[in-house]
Amino acid sequence: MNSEFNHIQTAHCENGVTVNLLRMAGHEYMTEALAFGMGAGLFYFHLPFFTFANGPAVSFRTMPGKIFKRTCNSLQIEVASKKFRNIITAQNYLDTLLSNGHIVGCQVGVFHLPYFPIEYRFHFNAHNLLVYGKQDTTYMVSDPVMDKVTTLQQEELNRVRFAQGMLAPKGHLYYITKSKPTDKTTIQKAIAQGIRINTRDMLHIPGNFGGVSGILYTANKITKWRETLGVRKAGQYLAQIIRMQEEIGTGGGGFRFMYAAFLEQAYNYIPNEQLLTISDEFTKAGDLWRANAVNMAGVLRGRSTEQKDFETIADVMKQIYAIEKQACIQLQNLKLHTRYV
Amino acid sequence: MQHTNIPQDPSALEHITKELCYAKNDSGNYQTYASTGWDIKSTALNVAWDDIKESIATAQELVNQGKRSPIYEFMHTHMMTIGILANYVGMCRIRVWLHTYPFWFKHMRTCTIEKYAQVFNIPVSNLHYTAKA
Repeated sequence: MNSEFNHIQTAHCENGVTVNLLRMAGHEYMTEALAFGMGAGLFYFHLPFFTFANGPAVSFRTMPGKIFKRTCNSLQIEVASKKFRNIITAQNYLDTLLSNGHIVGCQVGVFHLPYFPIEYRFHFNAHNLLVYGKQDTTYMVSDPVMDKVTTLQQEELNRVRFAQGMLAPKGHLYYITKSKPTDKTTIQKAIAQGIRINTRDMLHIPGNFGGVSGILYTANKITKWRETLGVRKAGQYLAQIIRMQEEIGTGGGGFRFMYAAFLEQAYNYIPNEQLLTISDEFTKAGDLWRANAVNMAGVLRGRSTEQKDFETIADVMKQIYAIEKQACIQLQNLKLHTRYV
Repeated sequence: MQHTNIPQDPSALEHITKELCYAKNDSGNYQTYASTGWDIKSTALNVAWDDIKESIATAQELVNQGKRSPIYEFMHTHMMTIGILANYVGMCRIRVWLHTYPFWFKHMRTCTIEKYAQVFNIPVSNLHYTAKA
């Protein structure tokens, strides 16, 4: 059992698991913003035709699991992960890892998670937490979005590890197998690599619904929602966007502030003044996202439900599109990955 | 965002944990701050819950009218769709869909009812009782 586990609260669960795991492996410099940037977490997509929980399938970050994988990859840390079919096998495997002194990250569903407030328990299966010990039938759990460590009973953990539905975790667990101390060059390389992947994702994903062009896609959709869906349904759709943008885990402004914080911290490793100016651009984008959430809430509360209010929301999103596109192009033109190889 | 603009509104999370926000401190650098919540977010969350409550009410009415089986109601109170429920009980979707109708519900075997009761975390008698009512 790891008695000296040091719990760090973070805004987002996957960043938190990455930070906690890396810090325990001796990477003391790691912060949430760095992990988010190295893992190229910033993204936007609006999946056409699909709806998720009676709303548009919108996301402000990359696929679940990518941040951890990319960060460890670029820092040359070896990780192992495993999925299971059988609950008993999964439990035994976890117990063996814990008795060997590993700290294990688990993908879980939040619907049956007992310490979560009832209002937040949806069938969302891409939550991450760390298990760092076991006493009798109680697991010691560190959930990065909570401010303290918690415990889970054996049955409770098994239940959330085998939650069903979209992105079912299937007992998915992951842990660090081999880690070596990193020097400044590796960190610089990892930051440059993270920025390269992130700008590629934001600017060059084919199709009009992924990356920055996805923001434009949503903006164009919003102008039609009032007519095609009616005010009430359109309000529900906007509520979904607000929740994806601001709800627990994004650190505000749909991860834009977190990315701005990353660029600011990256400046400590890569002294390039332009990183700071681009960081300000992302702050501006984040502020606009938040201002737009207030506009959307106006529709939900029935204060402003005219077509022109929907147009305003769309217009702000178009502004955000312009800012983020410009910022990403600037970031790409720095060509950091060619300088820090 | 400046750290003075971080909202501290009451929310469901208030007594359980605080969420972290990224905002600029007085010297213009990013720092994390704890926030209890934002009423804009609570509004959005309430909209989602109103939607769910409405669907539960509709389901209850259909069950009371005898048009759907109790499984249909429990499915909605657990915010599941046919697909999610089918995954939990380990049956194919069409079978679960059929079980939401009274005719097929009455012809279910005990072991099948037990599977549903286990997923909904209720005693088997609960499903039987409502079936008779």
